[in-house]
Amino acid sequence: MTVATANNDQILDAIRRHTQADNPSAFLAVNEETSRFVQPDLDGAVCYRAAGGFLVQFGGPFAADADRVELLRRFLEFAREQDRTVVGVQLARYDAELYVEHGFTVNQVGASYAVDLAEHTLRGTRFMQLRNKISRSFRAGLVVEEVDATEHRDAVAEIDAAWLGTKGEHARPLEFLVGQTGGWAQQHRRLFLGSIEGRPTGYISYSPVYGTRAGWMHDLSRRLPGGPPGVMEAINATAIEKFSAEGAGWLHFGFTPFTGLAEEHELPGRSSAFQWFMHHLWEHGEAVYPARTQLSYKEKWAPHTVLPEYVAFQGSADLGAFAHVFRAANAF
Amino acid sequence: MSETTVSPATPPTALPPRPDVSALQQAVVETFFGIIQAPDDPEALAGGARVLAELDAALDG
Repeated sequence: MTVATANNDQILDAIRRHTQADNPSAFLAVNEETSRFVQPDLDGAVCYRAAGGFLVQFGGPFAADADRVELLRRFLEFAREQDRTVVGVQLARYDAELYVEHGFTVNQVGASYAVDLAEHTLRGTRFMQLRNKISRSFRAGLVVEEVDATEHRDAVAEIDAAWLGTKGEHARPLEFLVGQTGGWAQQHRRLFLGSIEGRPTGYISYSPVYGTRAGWMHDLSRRLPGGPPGVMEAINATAIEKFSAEGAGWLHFGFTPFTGLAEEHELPGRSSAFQWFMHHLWEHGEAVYPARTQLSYKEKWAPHTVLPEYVAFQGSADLGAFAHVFRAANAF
Repeated sequence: MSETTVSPATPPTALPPRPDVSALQQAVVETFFGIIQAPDDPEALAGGARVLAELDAALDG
């Protein structure tokens, strides 16, 4: 099969125009090292990484309605020619239903969380602890600014290195399903940096979100170990104020695996066994992914919307395919 | 158990052995972590769909 090449602008154009799935993480499609499958006669793109015998697809096809089924069909053919199996991850429900129709076994794998900025407030007793935490960090001298990522590349690198050092000797930074800083796509992202006495202490990178819940996604967030509590919360609160003042609609917190699991989100043909396994990993899967810690941070902001996300197995549910999602994400 | 539900004249029905769900669940967990340890091991990978299918059969059956 002839596979056309797609440049960054074409992929960005695809995720901006083809927002039927309202995938809040769609911007991850422009990550460096993510492969793109496009066809010259079809309007859209499939984004994936090869890992072992699998093509791990991120989201569904970002494609025109008229072309999305044919694009998926050709992508499956492309995988078959390589003797590889497709496993899709972070599918929004709209895409998950398409995969069910095409013989995939589809299960909920987690959820993503979003705050409606028009409704957002930190007033009231519910947010008292969060407000106190933020105040303490500012009292400790924290200054938060939106900065140019290129000019602050060294600060980001220093924080990244220190942050990774806290994760253990064999820790590796996740890729593919998390955002990046720098590179071509940085011009579309925003970086908020927290510093104390001039020393960079932590940062949060935000990626654009398109579709009916357009706004920003709270993406990479890292900080130096040992700083005062509340640094990340103060950075995010500052960013929220700025986004709200600009009229942005939503702040997304992105996907957290193993969270928000509910029978009502499952689709026909789902695997009961895999469903059980997701609940098991929510209870005991800290070694695979720190879902509880991640969810705890997101819930502090009282998200207004919880969106289920899905994994789609070509054929039957398969632990090998699921493990390769993590392999593609550099988790092991 | 009520006496009326058991008749000594009725021969015991031979029921198929019930699948041990917790053993199958344990196999799912072990298989997953086995694959993570050896993601290119064909034997480990082969178990990935099989153990889920066995647990599916036990849960849905």
